[in-house]
Amino acid sequence: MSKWAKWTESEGPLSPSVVSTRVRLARNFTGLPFPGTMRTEQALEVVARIRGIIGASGKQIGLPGFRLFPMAELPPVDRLALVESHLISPDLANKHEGAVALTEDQSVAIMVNEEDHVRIQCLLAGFQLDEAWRLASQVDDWLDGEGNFSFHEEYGYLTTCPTNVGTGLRASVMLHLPILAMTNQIEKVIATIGQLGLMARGLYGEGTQAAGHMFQISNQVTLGFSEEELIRNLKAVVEQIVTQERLLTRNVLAQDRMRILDRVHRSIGLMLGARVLDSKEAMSLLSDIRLGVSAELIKLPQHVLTELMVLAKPHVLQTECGQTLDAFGRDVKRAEFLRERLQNALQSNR
Amino acid sequence: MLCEQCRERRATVHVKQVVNGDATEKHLCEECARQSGEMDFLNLTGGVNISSLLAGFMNLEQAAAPSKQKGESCQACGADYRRFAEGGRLGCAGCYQTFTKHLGPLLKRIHGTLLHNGKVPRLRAQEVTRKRQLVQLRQELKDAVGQEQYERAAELRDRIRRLETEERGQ
Repeated sequence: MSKWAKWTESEGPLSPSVVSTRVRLARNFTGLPFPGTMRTEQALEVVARIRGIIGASGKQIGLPGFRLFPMAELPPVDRLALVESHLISPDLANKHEGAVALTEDQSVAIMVNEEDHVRIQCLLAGFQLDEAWRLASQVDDWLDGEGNFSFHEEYGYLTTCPTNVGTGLRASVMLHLPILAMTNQIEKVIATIGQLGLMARGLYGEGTQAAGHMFQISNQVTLGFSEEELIRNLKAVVEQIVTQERLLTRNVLAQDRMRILDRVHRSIGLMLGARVLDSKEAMSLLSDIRLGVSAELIKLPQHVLTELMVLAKPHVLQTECGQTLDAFGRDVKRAEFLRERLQNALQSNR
Repeated sequence: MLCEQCRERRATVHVKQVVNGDATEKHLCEECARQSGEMDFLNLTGGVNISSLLAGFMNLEQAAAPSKQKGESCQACGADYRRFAEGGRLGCAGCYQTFTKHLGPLLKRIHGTLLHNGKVPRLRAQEVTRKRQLVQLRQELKDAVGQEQYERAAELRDRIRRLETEERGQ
């Protein structure tokens, strides 16, 4: 299996505050029970259908290079690396009859036999909600063909869980909000978001404790609004939050520039010097360095930081070095990888 | 720190449990954690379990309308209502029809509405647009009659008839 998380190689609008954008559509084929009640041969039929469609016409929609990976054929470490790179869900990694079809650039992932027959996911770097929705909808049209998907005239697209029915759309944005978190304002933001039909959570851990100060915001409601409305709502809220983060950053810098500068450079120093680095510490160092970039205190290609964040994950790390490592071995390897890559990035930017 | 259980490997999984205010802590290695079920293998995200939350909602529905739910099952996939009420997950597309009267209040609670307003598959676009128009026109007709605007009502009635004829024609 080649390298995971290719989406981290580019950077998009509003980065580094917006790390990535994802749009996911839940769909089910007509004439087959949902995955939870399906027999094995029916599950295999779903995989075969997807294999047939992507094999026959992948090139027609301008998304060449679709490749299907059945979960049963992937070693556990690869499956977990896919989860850690945000390309598949933890749920899918556990499904014996599950599969994922990925485009070459990994911007589109079609998850097969997760909670629904098909989950179309488009993952792009930075803030690209409209682009991700357009791409997902295009893949949806293509897979639907001559009406393959279950659709109810009142309820819309039918899904296993009633929380997804209607549009089947879950749009989410991964945000890096260090200053809102450090100044303890993030709890307020999260509470307010809940009242706007959106959901916010710490990506690794909760609230101010969220490791790496990464937060994910997504729509909660899927029925009754058009996809464009849902996306517009999310977009407006994310723009507000990023503006708040930037304003607050400017204020904090005005008052405490030297402290922030110290924190950023101290973290760079630690990452360049560390020989043993666990993932929690790595996340926190990377968060400080990312803050340095967004506050324009240091210059670094932003996508490098996203790449390092994913590379720091235990299973991605092991696929990258092609070895099985215990926890301590991983901490050593992580320190080595992050040190080398950060060094290169700093040098090439000089 | 060494794993409390095997005392051989390094403890990398730290579990803190608070039950009725009493906090206990465990420090285990990955392997022992996996065996003891403390670390749900592959479950990297954690967080709230949506299906159990939904099941809670469903039980509310059940309490509100405790009639004859036991025997109800979907003809298409065989899933019964109880299974849905417990797991919060439907068995097939047919379940939406079978359990429609329970699903209505639930969907309303989750989404605040019952009517899809988004994308329609290409081949069904015409049919669904017409249905949506009919729903809207019938409401407008009702309003017009209520407000004694009979001229407008007649006009609306004609438009509804035309659409209904089209519908029958397909």
